[in-house]
Amino acid sequence: MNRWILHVDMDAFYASVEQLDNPSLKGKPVIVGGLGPRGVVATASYEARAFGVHSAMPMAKARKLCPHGVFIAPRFERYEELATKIRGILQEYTPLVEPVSLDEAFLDLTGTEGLHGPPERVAQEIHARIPRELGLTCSVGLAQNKLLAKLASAAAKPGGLLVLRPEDVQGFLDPLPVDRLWGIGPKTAQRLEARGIHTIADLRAVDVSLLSSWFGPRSGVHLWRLARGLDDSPVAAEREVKSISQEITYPEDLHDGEEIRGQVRELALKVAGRLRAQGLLGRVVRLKVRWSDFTTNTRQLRLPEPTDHALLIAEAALSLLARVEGEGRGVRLLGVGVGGLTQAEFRPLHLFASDELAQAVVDARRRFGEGAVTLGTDGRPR
Amino acid sequence: MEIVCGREDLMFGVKTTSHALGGRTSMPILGGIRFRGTPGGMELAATDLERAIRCQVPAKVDGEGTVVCPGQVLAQLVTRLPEADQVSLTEVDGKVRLQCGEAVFDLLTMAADDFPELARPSGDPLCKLPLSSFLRAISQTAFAALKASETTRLALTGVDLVFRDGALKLAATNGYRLAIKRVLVEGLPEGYEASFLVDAQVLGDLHRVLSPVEAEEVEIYAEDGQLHFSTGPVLFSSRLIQEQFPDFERVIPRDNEIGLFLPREAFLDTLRRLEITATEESGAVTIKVSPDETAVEVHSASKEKGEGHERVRLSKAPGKGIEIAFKAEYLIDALRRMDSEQVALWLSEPDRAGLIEPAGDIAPGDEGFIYVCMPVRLI
Repeated sequence: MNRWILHVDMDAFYASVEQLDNPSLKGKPVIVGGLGPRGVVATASYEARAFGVHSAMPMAKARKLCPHGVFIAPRFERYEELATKIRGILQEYTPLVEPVSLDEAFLDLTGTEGLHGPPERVAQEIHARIPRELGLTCSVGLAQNKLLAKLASAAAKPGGLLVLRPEDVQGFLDPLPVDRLWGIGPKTAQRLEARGIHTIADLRAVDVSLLSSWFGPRSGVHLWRLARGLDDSPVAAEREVKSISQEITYPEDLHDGEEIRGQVRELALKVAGRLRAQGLLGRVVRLKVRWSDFTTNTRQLRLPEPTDHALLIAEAALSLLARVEGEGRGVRLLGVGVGGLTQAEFRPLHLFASDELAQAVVDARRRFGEGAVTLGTDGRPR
Repeated sequence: MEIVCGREDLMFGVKTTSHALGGRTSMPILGGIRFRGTPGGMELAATDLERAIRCQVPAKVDGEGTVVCPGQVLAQLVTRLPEADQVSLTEVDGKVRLQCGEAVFDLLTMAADDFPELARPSGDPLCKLPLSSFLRAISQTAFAALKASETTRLALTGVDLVFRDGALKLAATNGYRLAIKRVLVEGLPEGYEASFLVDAQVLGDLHRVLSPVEAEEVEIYAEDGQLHFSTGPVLFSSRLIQEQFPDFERVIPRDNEIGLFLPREAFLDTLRRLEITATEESGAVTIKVSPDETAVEVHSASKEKGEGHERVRLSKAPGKGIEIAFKAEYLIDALRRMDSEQVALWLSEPDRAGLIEPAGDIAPGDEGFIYVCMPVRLI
């Protein structure tokens, strides 16, 4: 399948933000980074780069190279604020946005044509919108995978846009030095250089068996693929929530079994409501019990099908509760969680726990408050 | 005590009883097989307290007695004994000397007094039925139960055995599908009605144990809070699960109007193919039919893998159309345990349960089998 991956890279992000917030800095070499004795450069404006200043350089060296530069300590809160706005723009085009850092992100535009038009037009739109709406310029690369998209945006810097078509990939890659490839570190680059391999074209000419004998089969194959611009790593959208859980710590320890079970049902209802609200199903139910002596038991089990059904989650949690031994201790904290999450793009219907009931419970609690409906049953699927 | 028996007979007895070996470190005696010699022959027994298996082995016994030998060792040993017609077992100085051809083993024994008391049915059997139809009933239902790893509540890990109206009905469900098999039994008292919940894994073991037994019938006893199954030389006892099985009769759809009469094997093969392109999470395939068409379209698609579709012919047009999705695995589970050439899939609404039953010339092994499957709602 043909993929379309977009890489957006803000130009000299921190320095540009400083110039944006303080227009008097425009056109001046601005260097953002640690101002202490061991500080390093985080970002240098293009004006400063002209003096040979670059990121990760010791601040002392930067001061030597660019004595009249404006040196500023980073204001991460402000950068994050803008990064959130940028991400908001990007997410209008696809939910598959992978932020690499505050100033860099990958977008998977595969299959978005129907909604937003050809990826190339999306690239142009994003490239124009970010400066227009935020006053910050960015470089954009569009290609078939993350490796190429990042190389494309780098080639487009500063402020440019490069669309790399499949037929142009080899011509684009060939003259680049090997260390430009993502995943070839200085050490590997050195070893390649030592064997007379300087450009990607050089690397592509080396047989995979030879690469394997130098670097081992795994890295050998990896280099062989890199030289051909091959990369199938997925765009990992913002770290997904791995589980949804609810916990309560009680001001006074619970001792009554019926009350404890009631609390577990209540937590299960809350978790089910959150699953429904977020459009998720879960397959692993977890129960956490902290006893009065502060020891904690957690138990989990895997259901036959993913669910967001309050009754089924409650039943599973209650059955786990029956498996932990209180030995006379009171309960200090209870938690019910659901993991093994998946998008609720489907819903396995249950023979004994009707879906209409589950939805009705969630709706009633939303409309009339959480006290409106509780699970008065013992949660058995009858 | 000295026992002489056929090598093959001993092998059968040890293999049969070894299915009940417990051998938990908390109670080592459960890892033993008990040999009890009487003038009439020898009985082997093992139990893990969940189930108990006893097996009569024809033997010449000199002097009565009881010894318990480590089960695992015996189970390994009997499969590797040298070719010989007979084996002798002699009790000497707290050990059991096993002799077979030139091979001689002195096996350690365990304290026979520690071996649990095993209840033996004393009255008349509740009923009896052909062994083959009982085995078939187990294999058509036990698979549908919830696995022990999927719950800690035991009700759905069991198979419900309901005795009523001259028949035994077995039912098992994991909450999303339900398998039911009704077999006729002999000798059930008029008006008798009772149900017993037996662990599905234990029933699976029962199937394994009884399959090789050469006997026509199995007798079922309900005594001492257990079910006992007796056939030929084997007596298998199972503890009951003391939980309430859900009211499964209530969820059997009785008036599904849309009947799809499908060639079983072709439909099964289609589902096995289309299961491949179903999404990992749902495993769902869509079944679509128009009112006057004599074929269904089966379809599956996933973002990661692509999609597929295939038509399966119907022996007649359903009269009413529907589009409904099922987890392919659940349909396959049922279809592959049937023999009939034709099956009927009865449907009503995309959100309502479907029912599968044998159709056309119903194969003898499929009589009394129905399967209820809840659909998957695709969103």
